[in-house]
Formats: sequence, structure tokens, C-alpha cells
Amino acid sequence: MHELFLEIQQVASGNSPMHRLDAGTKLLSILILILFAVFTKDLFSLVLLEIFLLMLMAASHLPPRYVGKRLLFVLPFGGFLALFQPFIREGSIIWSFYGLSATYEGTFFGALLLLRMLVCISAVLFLSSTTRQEDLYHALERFKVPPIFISLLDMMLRHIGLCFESLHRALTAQKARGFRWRKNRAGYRFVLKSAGNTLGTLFVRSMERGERIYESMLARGYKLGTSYSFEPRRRANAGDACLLLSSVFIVVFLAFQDRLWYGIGLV
Amino acid sequence: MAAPNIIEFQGAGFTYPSGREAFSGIDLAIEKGGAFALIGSNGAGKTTLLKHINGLLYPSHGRVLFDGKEVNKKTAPGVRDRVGFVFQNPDDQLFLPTVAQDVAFGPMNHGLDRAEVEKRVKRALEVVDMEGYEGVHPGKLSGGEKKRVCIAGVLALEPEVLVFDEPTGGLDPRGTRDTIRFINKLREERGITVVIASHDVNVIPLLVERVAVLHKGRLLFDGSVRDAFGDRGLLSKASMVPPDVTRLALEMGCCPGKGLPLTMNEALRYFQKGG
Ligand SMILES: Nc1ncnc2c1ncn2[C@@H]1O[C@H](COP(=O)(O)OP(=O)(O)O)[C@@H](O)[C@H]1O
Ligand SMILES: [Mg+2]
Repeated sequence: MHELFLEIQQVASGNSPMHRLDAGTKLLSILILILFAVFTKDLFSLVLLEIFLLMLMAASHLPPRYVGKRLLFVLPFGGFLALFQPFIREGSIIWSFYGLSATYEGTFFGALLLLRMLVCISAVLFLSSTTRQEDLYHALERFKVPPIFISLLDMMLRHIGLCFESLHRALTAQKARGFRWRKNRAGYRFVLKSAGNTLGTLFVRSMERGERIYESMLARGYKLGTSYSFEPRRRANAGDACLLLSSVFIVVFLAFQDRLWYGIGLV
Repeated sequence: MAAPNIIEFQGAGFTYPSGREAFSGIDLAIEKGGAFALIGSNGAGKTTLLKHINGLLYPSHGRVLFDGKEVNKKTAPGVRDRVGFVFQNPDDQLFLPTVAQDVAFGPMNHGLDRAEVEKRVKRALEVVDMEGYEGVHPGKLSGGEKKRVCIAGVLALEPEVLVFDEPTGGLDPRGTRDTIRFINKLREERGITVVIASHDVNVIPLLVERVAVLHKGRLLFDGSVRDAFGDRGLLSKASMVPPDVTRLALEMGCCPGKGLPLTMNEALRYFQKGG
């Protein structure tokens, strides 16, 4: 987990055409895409949208392994939910097995759910892997998000990082003293007990550390709502316009595509 | 005429919300432009006391004054603009992805414009000999380098007072030597008031002339560093020992007083003269 978190920050400070785009434009574009994904009921549109997002990620030079690993995270959560749908939704039965019956409506809804999640996660992954945190805060500032929310977001992300860091250190120190998760020589109860203690200590320690960091920020004049990035605000350019327009275009196109096929006589 | 006091503790005491009393009955005055060290063993209350100077904590009783005005919730932000606080653990201070951004954090908070921020970052990094590290991730620096970036981070605020909590803690001999050099340079060249909390007796005489000895939250002594380190009774009451060279001189029969060596150079001179 620790590595996953650090990797995002590293990848986000990369330098591709997509990285160089304005953070606000990227934020707006993915919001449009997500909004569409949440409201559409068309599987084909979602597949097209996912392809568009994968293309954006390819243009950002994101390593395929990096993207794959994160998209697979959908499965344990979303996959589980989706898997149940065919059996709990009412509708026309398409398949049955010892009294357990799957419905067409349920299967469709499950697939819709899974695709929606995939698209949303891809969109967020694209944004967070091509945009540095400070740039994002800057964009939020420009969108008139209240400073307290930006600060909360900032603190939260920072503390997740700290938590992972402390956990990583604690686990390393335990490993050095011969601790094993599996086949521990002291038995399973001991493993459970140390895991509990580690988590407890981790919680207290991150809180204390967070407090010390906050003190050091206060000591350097930190006040709510001070500006985040000290780099100059860049004017929007053709690339920014291009991303925003293509997002709007693709959404409009997908929204009307069924009528379009119908109109030109394909369906 | 003596220089005016920049920091004053008047009967100040502090008890943590947990009920733990960190110190009490502290009367202390620190002059503008001076160098002052708070010394004492671990847990004596040094860090807690320092945090009162710029209003990271407020006294439970008594008062703390900065430049003649009481430090409280209202005045603290203004005090923090004038006091640079270098924390004990650099990792608590460095939290931005590059050295330059971290040094810029303070000036940004002061609402300075970009050109001025850049100028200050550059100047601050020059003072601590860290030019060329602007784009480096602080996590990749050595302990001594991290400390220097921390110092730069508060220098960029152009403070009148610099507070150091255990400035040499955890540093190797070279890091220790560099840090001492920077602190002394800042004091001499800019007239910055320096306040230090430390238990590292060997470096204290290299940094300050005046010390206060804190033990279990009580002030045992306030005076010259030579008087403090020549008084073995005082030191043992505070669970401390004199600097190594001083101990050696004392063991070899040197009498406390003006001639007592506190630093390596003083000891050299002392022994070259034949004791
Ligand atoms: N956040 C806290 N809550 C409760 N007690 C604390 C806290 N921080 C420090 N203390 C206690 O206050 C006393 C003084 O601590 P501190 O000021 O850190 O001493 P020093 O810096 O001299 O080592 C210690 O006994 C310590 O346990
Ligand atoms: Mg301390």
C-alpha cells in the first residue's frame, strides 16, 4: 500500500503533454465524464468512454502495469456487488441453477454498475496521475471551493501518507526481529495480537506526528486559506481547450449516439 | 544601558491537559540580540517551554511576553511572523515534495509575491550552503542536510528571533559542526536573537554565553555558562554532567572560575600552558 501511494505522487510529477495541461481543465473534464457515466444506462457508451480514458492515460505515458494494478482494485469491491445483482433483481429469468435464478435485468444492472465504477476510477486515476497535488488545490481555489475544504483535503492526503510511512517503518522493524505474518512460530493468536497493537500504536503515533507537523506549519505562519502553489498561474492554452472540448464532444456524442445510428439507418 | 528584553516569562507554568505539569514558576528574561540556552536532561520541560515563545502553547498560569506584549491567541500569529522555530526532528518540518517548495512555505504564508518568495528561497538556501538542491525531495537528503533545509525554511521568514530545539540532536560530527557555524554566523551577521534548548553539553559553550538550567520543570540556575558548568553540585542535581573537556580539567585539579575550559580550544590552551 505504501508503495502504491508513493508511486502516484511520483507518476504525477512526470512530464507528458497531459501532465502539462492545466489542472482545472483536467478536473472539469473528468467531472463531465463522471457525471455522464453516472447517469447513462447504455453499456456501449460506457465502454467507449473507458476506451477514451485509456487513450488519455496512454497519452500521459502512464506505465500499463501501474494502471492495471489500480483498475483491478475495482474487482474486490465493485465486482462483488455486481456479482450479486443477477440473483437479487427481479425480471425475466435467463438462467437458473438449483433454485438460484439469474435475471436479464439483474445481469444488465450488474454490468452497468461494474462499468460505471471502472470509468469513474479510470477518470480519477487519470487526474491524480497527471496532476500534482498543489496544482489541484490551486485549481480548486480558482473554482471558489472554500479554503476549509481544500485544507481538509490536503491534511487528509498528507496524513494518509504519514500513516503508511509509519506503518511501513513499524512492519520493517518487526520483520527485523523475526516477525512473520504466516506460519508465525508463536502461533496465530500472537499474530493477531501484534497486528492489533501495531494498529493502535500506529494510530496514536500518526496523530502525534500530525500534531507536530501542524505546529511546525503554524510556526511558519500557516493560516487557513493561504495560497498553495508558488508557481505562476499559467494561462489556459490550446491543449487545455482541446481536452475540455473533446470531453464535452464525446459526452454529447454518446448521449445521442443511439439516435444517430437510427438516423443514418444502421439500426 | 542593557538591551531590552525580547522574551520574558513571568511566573509562567504549564500543565498538559493530561494533568502532567511540564514546568511552573518560571521567571526568565532574554535580551534582544543575545544567545541563550535552556539546558536540562530529557523530560525536563525544555521543548514545552520553547513552544510558549511563539504561542504554540499558552501558559496555564503566569505570563509570557514577546517584545513587551503578552503572547495570547490574538497576538500569537504576529509573534510567529517574527520568530523562526527550528523543530527537533526535521521530518516534522519538511513535508513538501521539494526543498524549494518547503523553504517557500513560510514566505507564501506571509502572502509575499512570487518574485520576493523566490528571492528569499534563494538567499536562505545560500546561507546554509544548500544551493543547487532546490528540486530535490527532502526525503533523499542526509540528516545534516535536512537540518540545513529546516533552518533555511525559517530564515526565509527573516525572523528576529531563532528558536532551536535540540539543534544538534541526531547529527554526525560534521553536521553538528556545520549547524554550530550557521547559528553563530546568523547571530553575528544579522543580530538575530538565538534561543536554544539542548542537553548536548559539549556544544552549548560553542553557541551561547548564558544558560538556564531546567530540571523537572523548575529553574535551578540562570547565569553564565561558565558558572553553570563549573558547579558540579548544580549539574548533578539536574542529572547532567559538564562537557567532556571540562570534566577532564576538573579531574586534573583545575579550579572552577574564569580559567575553567569549556571547549576544545580553551582546553588546548589550558593544557598547553601546563594546567
Ligand atoms: N503532549 C504531551 N502531553 C502530555 N505530556 C507531555 C506532552 N509532551 C510532553 N509531555 C511531558 O512533559 C514533560 C516535559 O517534556 P518536554 O518538554 O518534551 O521535555 P524536554 O524537551 O526537556 O525533553 C515530560 O515529562 C513529558 O512526558
Ligand atoms: Mg525536547
